[in-house]
Amino acid sequence: MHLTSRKPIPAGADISADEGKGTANVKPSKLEGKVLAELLEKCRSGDRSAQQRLYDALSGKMFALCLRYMGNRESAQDILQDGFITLFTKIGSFTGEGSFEGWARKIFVNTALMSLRKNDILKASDPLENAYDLRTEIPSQMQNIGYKELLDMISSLPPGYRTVFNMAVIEGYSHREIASELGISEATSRSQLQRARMMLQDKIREL
Amino acid sequence: MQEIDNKEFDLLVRGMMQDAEEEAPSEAWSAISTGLDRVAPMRKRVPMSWIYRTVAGVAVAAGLAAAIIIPRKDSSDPTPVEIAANPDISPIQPFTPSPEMSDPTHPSPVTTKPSGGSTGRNLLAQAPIVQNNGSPSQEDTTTPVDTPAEDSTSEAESVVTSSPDETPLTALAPFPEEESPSTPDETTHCDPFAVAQWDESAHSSSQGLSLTVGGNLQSNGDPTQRGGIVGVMRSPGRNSTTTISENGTSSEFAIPLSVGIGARYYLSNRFALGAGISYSYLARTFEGTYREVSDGQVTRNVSGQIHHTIQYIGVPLGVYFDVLKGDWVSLYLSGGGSVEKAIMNKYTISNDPSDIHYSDPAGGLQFSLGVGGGVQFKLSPLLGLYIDPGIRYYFGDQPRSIRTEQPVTFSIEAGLRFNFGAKR
Repeated sequence: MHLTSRKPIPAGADISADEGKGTANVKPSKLEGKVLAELLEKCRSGDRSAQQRLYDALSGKMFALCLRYMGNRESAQDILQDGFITLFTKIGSFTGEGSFEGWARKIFVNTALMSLRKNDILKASDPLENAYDLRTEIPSQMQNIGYKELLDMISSLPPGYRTVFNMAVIEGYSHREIASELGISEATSRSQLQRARMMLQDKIREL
Repeated sequence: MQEIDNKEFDLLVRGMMQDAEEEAPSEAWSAISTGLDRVAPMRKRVPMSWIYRTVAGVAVAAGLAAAIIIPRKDSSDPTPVEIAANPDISPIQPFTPSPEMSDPTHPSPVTTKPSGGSTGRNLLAQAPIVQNNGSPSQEDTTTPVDTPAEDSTSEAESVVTSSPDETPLTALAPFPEEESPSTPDETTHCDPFAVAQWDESAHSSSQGLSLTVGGNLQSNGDPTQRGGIVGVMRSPGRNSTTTISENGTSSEFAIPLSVGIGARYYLSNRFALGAGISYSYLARTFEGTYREVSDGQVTRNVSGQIHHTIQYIGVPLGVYFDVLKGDWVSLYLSGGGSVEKAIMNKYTISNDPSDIHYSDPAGGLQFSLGVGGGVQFKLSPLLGLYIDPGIRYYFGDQPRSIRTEQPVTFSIEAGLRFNFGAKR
């Protein structure tokens, strides 16, 4: 199966090449090592150009994350902005343990969840009495689906299904954690995930 | 067609979406930049050079304060030879002033939020950078990514966030199911990044702790000069009395000096409460008479210049209100009072061959109330220089001093203010 995705940018790309220009020509998909450390140091000191470089490096992934959670570009942009403001405000609390991108993702996930909570994201749903292992057929169309199409499909899911699907499948939360975060039962979390899968597969077949 | 189960489907989707990117709107950065400008300036990492300068500034301030408050040393050895005849007279104890204590408390506009901004939990997690082929990246030290638990029979929960050093996501507070839509502030308690939630009131809050070291000079304009006995010591069980009397014809009051250290805590964006410890030094010189009487007989009578000093330790309390808060300067109003206890009340009578030292314990407390304002200049993220003019009223039954003769005084306080703990 061929999965379409963006070609990854070589790690360790020199983002300092455009020092002072505000934006880097190269947007590394992953910041690491000394480059990241120096950039974070500048961001902590309030260097706006450094903040913009970090934004340029992360905005693509984070906006995709926001789209997955919020379902529309307007809301996703709001979450993107709020998330980055939070990130730069709290950047001093990143101690270097673990992945910075992972730390950043959590900020955006939490920002999105807080926004979704306000709108009572999950509708009451009857938990499946017996969770079952769905075996299905991969639609042939999935071979030609790009991430953009899949992103659109995920974004079009109902808010409750979409949130649980994102948290469980992509972010990797356990059902216990999802239940705790969203104030639902674990059974509800599982049923929401199952329904999300089913809807997503139906959408894939409709292509 | 190929059949797969849920796990495989999830892996496929994750592989495609984990590193997916979508170009952000072009206007997003400008909005973020504007938002950052509105948020209080990020705390900057204080370069080590600033720390050294701050320490040097404190040392200089402490040195100046010590130089001011150390009592004059008499040329003669204060051996109470001549007062040994009255064993009840307190021997003169050389007083070593406590290091920097001042009259504290003024708003510190640069106090930052407590790092309880860091009240949130640290949820640093090593989210795996899953490559598009689905395999974990080299950074992933956790076990291979797995699908979340689907049912009780399959406990292969994703370990994306369960590496040994990570805080479990169960640390997140549960969100009530029945909760109706609420303002961000009402839900922020559920989120470890809640304090970082961009809320104008939260980000503009200057809650935090500041420490003040400073000195205070008060006026001694035209105090009342009057005579009378200013000190009487009676020996219990013995028919002897030592008195000091002031003839009221000539006296000079030195400018009162105070130093202290204090702390201030912001209750809101503009209001703060402060408390501290202060040390005050009062001095005056007058023409008077020192007389010792025993069994009805005057055993000693010395007239001349008498130097009188009083030292107080006090606890000032105050309320502060920020009127104007800028990046480099702030203006504020203050009001409050203090309670002081005299720890030394000493008279030095000029005499030949050696001066006479006489201490008269001062009972009671010195109270004061005051109002004033102030301006603070931000020298560094941690350090500010403040100047506070004010008016203070003193009352209480205390030994005669500038405060009893001129209860309402104008004062100028200046010092350094250090900001701690508040992260913004």
